[in-house]
Amino acid sequence: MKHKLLALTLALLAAAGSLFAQNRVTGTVTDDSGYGVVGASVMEKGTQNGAVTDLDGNYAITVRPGATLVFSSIGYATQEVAVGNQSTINVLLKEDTEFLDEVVVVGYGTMKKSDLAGASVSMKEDAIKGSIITNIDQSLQGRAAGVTAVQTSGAPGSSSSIRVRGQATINANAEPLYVIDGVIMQGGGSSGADFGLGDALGNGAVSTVSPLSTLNPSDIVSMEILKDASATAIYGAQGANGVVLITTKRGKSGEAKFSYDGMFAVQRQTKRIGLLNLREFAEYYNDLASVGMVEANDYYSDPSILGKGTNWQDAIFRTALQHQHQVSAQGGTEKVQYYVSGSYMDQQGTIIGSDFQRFSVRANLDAQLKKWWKIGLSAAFSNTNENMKLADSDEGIIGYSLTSLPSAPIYDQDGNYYSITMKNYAIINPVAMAMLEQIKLNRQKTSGNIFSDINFLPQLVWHAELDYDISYSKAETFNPSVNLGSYQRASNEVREQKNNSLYWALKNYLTYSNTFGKHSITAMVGQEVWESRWDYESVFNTALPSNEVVNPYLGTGTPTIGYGYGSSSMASFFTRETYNYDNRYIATYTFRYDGSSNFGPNKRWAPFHSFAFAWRFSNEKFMEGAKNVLNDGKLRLGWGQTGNAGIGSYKWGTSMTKVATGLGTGYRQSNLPNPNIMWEKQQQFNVGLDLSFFNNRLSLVAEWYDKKSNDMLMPLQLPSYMGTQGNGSSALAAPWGNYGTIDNRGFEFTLTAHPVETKDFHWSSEGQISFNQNKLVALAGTASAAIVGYGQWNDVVSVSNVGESLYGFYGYVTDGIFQNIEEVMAGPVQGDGMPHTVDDDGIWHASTNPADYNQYNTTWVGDIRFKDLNGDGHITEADRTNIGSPMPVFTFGWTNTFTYKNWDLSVFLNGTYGNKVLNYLNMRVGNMKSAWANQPTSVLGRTQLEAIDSGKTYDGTGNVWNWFEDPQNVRVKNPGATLPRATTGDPNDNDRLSDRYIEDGSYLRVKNITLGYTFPKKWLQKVKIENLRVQVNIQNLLTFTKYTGYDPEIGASTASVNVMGLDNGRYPSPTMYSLGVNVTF
Amino acid sequence: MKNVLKYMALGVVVMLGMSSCDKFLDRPAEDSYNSQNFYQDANQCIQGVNYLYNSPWYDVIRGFYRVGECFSGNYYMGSSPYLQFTVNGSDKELRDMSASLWAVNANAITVYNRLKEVTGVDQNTLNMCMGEALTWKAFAYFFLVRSFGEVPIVHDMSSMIASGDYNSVYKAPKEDVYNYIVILLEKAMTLLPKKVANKDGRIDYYSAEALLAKVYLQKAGVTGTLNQADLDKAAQLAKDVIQNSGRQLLEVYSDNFRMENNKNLEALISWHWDASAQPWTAQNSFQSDLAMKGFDEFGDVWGEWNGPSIALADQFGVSALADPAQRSDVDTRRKATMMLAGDSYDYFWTGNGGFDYLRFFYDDDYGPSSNPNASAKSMNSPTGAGCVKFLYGDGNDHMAALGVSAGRMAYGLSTHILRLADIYLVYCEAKLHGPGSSTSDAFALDCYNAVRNRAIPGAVSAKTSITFEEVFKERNLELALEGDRWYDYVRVGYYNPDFAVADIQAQRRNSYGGDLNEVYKAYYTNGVWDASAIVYNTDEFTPTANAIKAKLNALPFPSEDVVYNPNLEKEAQPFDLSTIEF
Repeated sequence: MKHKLLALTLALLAAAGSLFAQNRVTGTVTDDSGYGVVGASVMEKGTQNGAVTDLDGNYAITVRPGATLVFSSIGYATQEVAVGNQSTINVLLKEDTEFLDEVVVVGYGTMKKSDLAGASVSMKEDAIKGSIITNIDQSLQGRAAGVTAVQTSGAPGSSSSIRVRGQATINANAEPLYVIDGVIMQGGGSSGADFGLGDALGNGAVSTVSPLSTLNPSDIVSMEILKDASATAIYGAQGANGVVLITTKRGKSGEAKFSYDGMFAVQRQTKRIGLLNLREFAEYYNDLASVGMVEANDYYSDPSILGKGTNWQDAIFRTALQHQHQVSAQGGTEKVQYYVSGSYMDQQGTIIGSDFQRFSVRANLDAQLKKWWKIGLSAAFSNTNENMKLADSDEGIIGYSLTSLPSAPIYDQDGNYYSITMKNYAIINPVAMAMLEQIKLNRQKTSGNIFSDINFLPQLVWHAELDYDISYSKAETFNPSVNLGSYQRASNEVREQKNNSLYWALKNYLTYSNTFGKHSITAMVGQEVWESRWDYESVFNTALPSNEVVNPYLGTGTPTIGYGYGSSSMASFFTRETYNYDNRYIATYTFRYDGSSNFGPNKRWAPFHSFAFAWRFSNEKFMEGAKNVLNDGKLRLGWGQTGNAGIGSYKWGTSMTKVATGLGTGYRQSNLPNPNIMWEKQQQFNVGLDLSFFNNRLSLVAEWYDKKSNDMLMPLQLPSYMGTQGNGSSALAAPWGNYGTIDNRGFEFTLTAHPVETKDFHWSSEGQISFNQNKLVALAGTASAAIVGYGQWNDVVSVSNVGESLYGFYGYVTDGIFQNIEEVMAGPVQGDGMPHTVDDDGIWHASTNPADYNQYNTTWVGDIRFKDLNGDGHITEADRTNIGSPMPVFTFGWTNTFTYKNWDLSVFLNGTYGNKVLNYLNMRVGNMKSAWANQPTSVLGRTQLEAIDSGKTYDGTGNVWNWFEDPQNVRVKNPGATLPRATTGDPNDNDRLSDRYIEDGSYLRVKNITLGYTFPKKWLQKVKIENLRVQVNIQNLLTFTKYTGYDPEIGASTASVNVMGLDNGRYPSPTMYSLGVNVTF
Repeated sequence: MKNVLKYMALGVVVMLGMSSCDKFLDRPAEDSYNSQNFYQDANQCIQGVNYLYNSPWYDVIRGFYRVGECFSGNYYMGSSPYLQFTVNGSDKELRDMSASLWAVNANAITVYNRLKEVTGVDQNTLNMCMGEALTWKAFAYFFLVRSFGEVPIVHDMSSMIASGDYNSVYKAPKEDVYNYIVILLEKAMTLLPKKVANKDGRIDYYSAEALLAKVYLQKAGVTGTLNQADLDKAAQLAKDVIQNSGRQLLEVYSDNFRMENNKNLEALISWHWDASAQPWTAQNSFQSDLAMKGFDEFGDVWGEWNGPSIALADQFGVSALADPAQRSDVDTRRKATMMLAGDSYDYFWTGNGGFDYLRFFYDDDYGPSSNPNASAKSMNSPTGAGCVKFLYGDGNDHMAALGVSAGRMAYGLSTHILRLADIYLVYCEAKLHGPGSSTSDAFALDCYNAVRNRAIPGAVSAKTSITFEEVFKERNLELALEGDRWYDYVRVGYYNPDFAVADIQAQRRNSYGGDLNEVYKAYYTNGVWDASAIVYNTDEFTPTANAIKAKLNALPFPSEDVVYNPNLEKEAQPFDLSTIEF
C-alpha cells in the first residue's frame, strides 16, 4: 500500500512538473554495495521541483533544460549532475565521511565528535546488544579503553565495580556517575545495609545489589564514557570518577515500527574445585589418626568400602534458566515522536534459590509545539524482585559447600535436610541454608524528566529541564525456625525494611552557537539544583507462629522499630565555551561552581575549571598530500579539575545515636566531627591522539593521562588505641576528612580495523588495551600512615602504604618447609610461644634442645618456615609485607566481527594481566586444621612425615610414645612438597596470611561469541516484516588462567572496604548459552 | 509578544536560580540529635553516660572470657590458642577485645569533654556523670594494662588528633599506666557521690574506691618486688569500702548471677545490658558462647563443646568421673559455677519446674514449652561439666525476671565485674606478701571467713592465720569463670612468675578421653554409674614455661597498629603524668 502511495506521489510530482518542463529524466540511485537507495531526494537545483527514489532506488523527474540535479540522502555525500540532454542518469552515492562525524552526547549538550578535545569513548547499541547482560554496567567490560569493569558477583542482576582510569579514591564512592538522559542515576545505595538487609550480604560498602539493574539495557541506544577531567569537569563535584552518559531510544517520525526482542538462555557453573571424595577423605582422616592428631574413627577405617559421598558443590549449583522479552514501538509525525517499550526478564541464579526478575516500561515523547519551542518527556518505571543468597564470606553457601563432609548426605531417610555435626565442629548444611534463609529485595523506581527547548534565535537555545527519580524498596530477611542439629533456630526472625526516596533536579542552560567564516563558537551557561530526600522504616520481630506467613506483625517477640529520614542537596552554576577555527584548532573551557549540603558552612562551595585544546592537523594544508593515507588526525591536550562529595551527609558535625542500656535509654556521640571537611579534588592531564588511515579502514586512539586525587575523602586512619576501630555500633567513628593523595597514570590504546571489506564479506576488528599505574602518594598524618583493609571481620589482609599501589595484600613470606628438627632449631623462632632464648642484642634464637619441641604445640617438622624479614630472630607482625597487588598491569578487550551476506559472527575476548588474587577461601578450606571439614585435593600433596629409624621403641619418657612424637626421629617423607603437614592445632600458625595463598589472577576469557542470521529483506517483505534476526550467544565459554579458584574475576570485597581481589567464595560468573530473536514490523 | 513570554519565563528561572542557596544547602542530621542540641538538662546528661555501662564493652566479652578463664585454666576450649598459649596478634577475639577496650576509653573521654562544656545543668549531676565516665576509662585501662602490659596512654584522643601525633606515641611502662589509672580514679572519686548502700546500679564513690583498691593491689608487684606502700594503700581503700559503703554480701552466692539482682548491694561495678539489642552491642550475649545447644529457644547457643575445666573441678574438690550420689560437695559455689551430672537448678527453666542437667540431654520431651524439641541429644562437654555463671535461662525466665523477651544473642542479665566479695579478698591479699606468706590480721580473717561462710554455710573457721596460697585459691573458688582469674596470675607473675608458671603447669587443663556421654546416659536411664573407661588425656598439651611467661608479661598487641605506628615496636618510654589535665 505504502509503495503505491509513493508511486502516486511521484506521478503527481511528475505531472506538476510537466506544465513547465521539457525533459523527463529517470534513473537509479545506488550505493557502494550496489543496492538501491530508498528515499533519496532528487531536486532540480534552485527550484522546489523534486522527486524521491522508490524502494529500489528508482526515480523519475521532469526538469527544464540546462537543469542540474541534486541527489542527496542522509548519510551520503550530496552529488550534483548536470542533466544536459541525458534522459537516464544513474548515480552512485558515496557515503559521507562528514556524516561519520557523529554527534555525541556531552554533559549538558551534544557535540560533533570531531570537535571533542577531551577523552571519551562511545558504546553503541550493537556493542551493548552483543553480550547477554542484565545490567548495563556489565557491558562495559573490555569494551572501552580505560574502563575496568569487574563483576562483584556472578549472581543474577548483580553489580560490577567500574573504575574509570584506575582507583582514584578510597572510601568515598569510587564508581562513576551515571547520567540517564540527563538524570543523575539515584542508586539508593550499594551495600545491602542501605536497603535494610543488615549484613546479610556482607558488611562491606559494596554488595551484589546493583543500582543499574533497575534499568532495562534494551532501551539504551548509546553510552558515552567521559574519562578525562576536561570532559567530566562539567559535572564538577560529581565527576571525579568519570561519567557515563546513557541515552535511551527516542521516537522517529514515520509509521509505527514494532519490534520484539526475545532471549532464552541456559547458565551453568562449569568449574568445580577439586575436593576430596569420601574415600580420599577417609584416607586423609586415617592419616591424621595415625600420627595422633585425631582419634581413629571406625566409620573411616576401611576406605575401600566407602562410596564417593556427597558432592556438595553439585548440590548447591544448578543449571539455571533465563528468559527475557521486550516489545517496543516507535514512530510519530514530524511534530510528535514517541518511543514506548515494555520488558520482562526472569533470571535464575546458578546457586540454588537465587533469582532476579525485572519488569520495566518506558515512554519517551518529543513534540515540536512551535517552530521555536520543543518539549520532551522521558518516563520509565521498573520493578525488580530478587532472591539473594549469601554466597561468599565465612558464613556463605560456597564456603559451607566446600567444607561440608562428603560423608554427610544432603537429606536424611525421611527427606529432611540432614544435619552435619561432628565433634566440636559443626557445618551448616549449605543446601538447607540456601533454601531456607531468605534475603529478598523488591525495588520500584519511576524516573525521567520533562524538558523544554526554546529557540530565541536560531543560534540561541534555552533548555529547561525537570528531572525526577522516585524510588521505593522493600527488603526482607527471614530466618526460619530450623532444627538441624548444629544448625538450629527455635525462634524464627524477620526483618522488613521499606525505603523511600525522592530526588528532583531543576536545570536551565542557554546555549549559543554560531559560525563566522572560519570561526565557530558555542557558549553555554547554566544552573542546576537538586535535592534528594529519603526515609526508611523497619520492623524486626521474632517468634512468628510458623514459617508459612512472613509478617513481623505476627511475631510474638518484642518488635523493634527503626525509622529515619534525611536529605541532601546541591546547587551549581556552570559554563562551557568552545571555539573552533577552520576545523583545525579547537579549544574548550568549562567551569563549574558547586555547593553541597554534605559539607559544613566553612567549606560548602568549590570551583572546578578545565581547559582542552585540540589540533586537527590532518586539515592543515601541508597534510593534504597525505590525505589518501591519513584521512583524519587530531592531537588533544586537556587539563581539568573535578571533585567528589560522595560521603553522605553531616560528616561535619556529630550526631547522637540512641542506645538501649540496662540503666534506661542512652545516647552516644556516634562520630568525631570535622567541621572543615571539604571536596575531594582531582586534577587530570590528558594527551590524546586520534588517527584514521585509508578512509577509516584503520584507526587508532591513543591516550596518556595523569590523574591526581588530592584531599581524598576518607575516615582518618587511626590505630586501634584511638578507640575508633571497635564494633561500628559502639566505637566512635573516626573523623572524615581530606587525608590522602592518589595518583593514577596510564596509557590507553584503541585500534579499530576493517581488514576485509568486500561486497559479501566484512571483517572488522577492534582491540583496546589499558595500562594503569596506581600509587598512594601521601596520607595525612605521619609517614607511616597506611590504609588497612580487612578480610572477614577484622582480619587485616591489605595494607596500602604510602608510595605503593593501593590495596596490596599484606602477609608473611614463606621460605620452604622444615625438613627435620635441625632445621626447626636453626630458626627463626616462628612465634612468641615457641621455645627460644634471647641474646644480649635482643635477637631471638630457637631452642636447640629437641626435647623442647613436640608436634602438638610447637613448631614441628613439616611446618612452614616463615621469613624473618627484620632479622630479629622471630616472626612477628613486623615480618609481614606487601605480598602482591590486586591491581592489574593492564586490561584488554578484543572484538572481531565477521559478516558474510546475512550471517554475522562476533567473538569478544577480554582479560587482565598482572593482578594477584588472595585465595581466602583456600586459606579456610585447605588449611588442614580440622578433621571435621572437607579439604581440597591439593592437600594430597601435603608434607608427610616418616620415622628416621622405624625400629626405635619408646617407653613414654618425656611423654614420647611414638616415633611421630619424637623430634629426633621424624623427617619429611616427601621433601618436594610445598604444603605443610596436616595439624589440627596448627601451633606454627601455618595458615596465617602468607604468599602461600596469593595467586596470579591474570586471565584471558572468551567472553562472548555471537552468531547471528538476518533474514533477507526480500523474503520478509512478503510477510510484512521489516527485519528478522536470530542469534545464538555463548558467554564466558572459556577462561584461561592459573588461578585455582572458581573465577579469577574478583572485584571489590563485599566484606570490607579497601580490599580488592579477595576471593572468599565469590559467586562465580556462569557460562551462559542463549538463543535470541529480534523482529521488527 | 511571544518573545516577551520567552524572556519573562527565563527571567523568573534565573531569579529562582540565583536566590540564596545557602539555606537550601544547610542540612545537619535531621532525624537525630546532634552533640550541640543534646546535653540540655540533667536527664540528657545522664542518658549521655548510660551507654558506657554496656555498648562499648560488648566486644570485650569473648576476649574477657578467653583471656580471663582459658589462659588461667578454668575453662576448657578445644584447640583454642588461649588454652595452648599460642594466641597471636591477629587473633580475632583478642583484637575485638582490644578494639573494644580502646573504644571505651575514647567514648569515656568524649563524653567527659562534652560534659565539661555543659552549662545550666545541676553541678552534682554533671559531676556524677563525669566521675562515671572517668571510672569506666580507668577500668578500660585496668583491663588493658593487665592484658597487654605496656600500652600507650591516650588521655584525650581529640587533642592527639588535632596535634597529629597519634601515630608517633610510644607505649608507656606498666608502672606509668597503673599510676595513670590511679590518677583517673582519684579524680573520679572527687566527682562521684558517696551513696551508702547503693542499689541503683550506677558507679559511685565507693565503686571507684573499690576499683582503686584492686588497682593498688595489682600494681604492688609490677616492678618485680612487692611494694609495701601499695599494699597498704590497697588494704586501706578496701577496708573503707567494706566498712563504710553500706554494701554487703548477698546471702545466697548464686543470687549474684540472677537477673532479679541486676542491681544489688554486692555489686560495685557492673555492665548493664539491654535485651533489645538496639543497637547490636547493647545486649548481653554470654550465654550463646557458654551454654549447651538448646538451652534457650533462640537457636543462639553453641557452647556445649567447651566447658569448665577439670582443673577447676579439682579446685572445688569434685570430679565429673565420680558417682554424683557419692559427691562430697560442700561449697555452694561449685554448683553455681559449674554443672555436673546430678545437678538441677530451680532458677533456670522456671516454667518447666527447673533445669536438670542430665534430663536436659536425655529426655526428649523436656524443654521450654515454646520449644519442646530443643533439647540436645548428647552431652558433649569434653570435661563433663557445663557453665552456670552468666547464663540467664530461657525466654520464660527472662520474661519473668525482666518483663521483656530475650532475643537471639540478646539478653538483659547484668555482668558484675567488681563485687564486694572480690574486695574482701583484695584486703586479705594486701595483708600478705606473696607466695609463702601468711597473716593473722583480724580483719583479713574476718573478710576471708565472711566469703567462705557464705559459700559453705556453717563452715565457721577457727583459723588464726591465712596463707597467701589459701587466699589465692579462694579467689578462684569465689570468682571463677567471671573473667578475672588470669589477672591473678598476671599479678603474681609480676614478682614471682615461677609461682604462676608452676601453678598453671600443675593444672589438669586437658579433656577426658572416652565416651563420657555414655556414662551420663546410662546413669540417667538406669541409675548405674560406671566411669571406669574414662581417662584424663595426659597427652594433649602442657604449656611451656616460656609460653606462659610471655603471655603473663603481655598479650600480643593487635597487629595493624604496628602498621600505623612503628614506635609501638620500640621500647616503652616513660610517660610524664604531670601533663595529665582534666
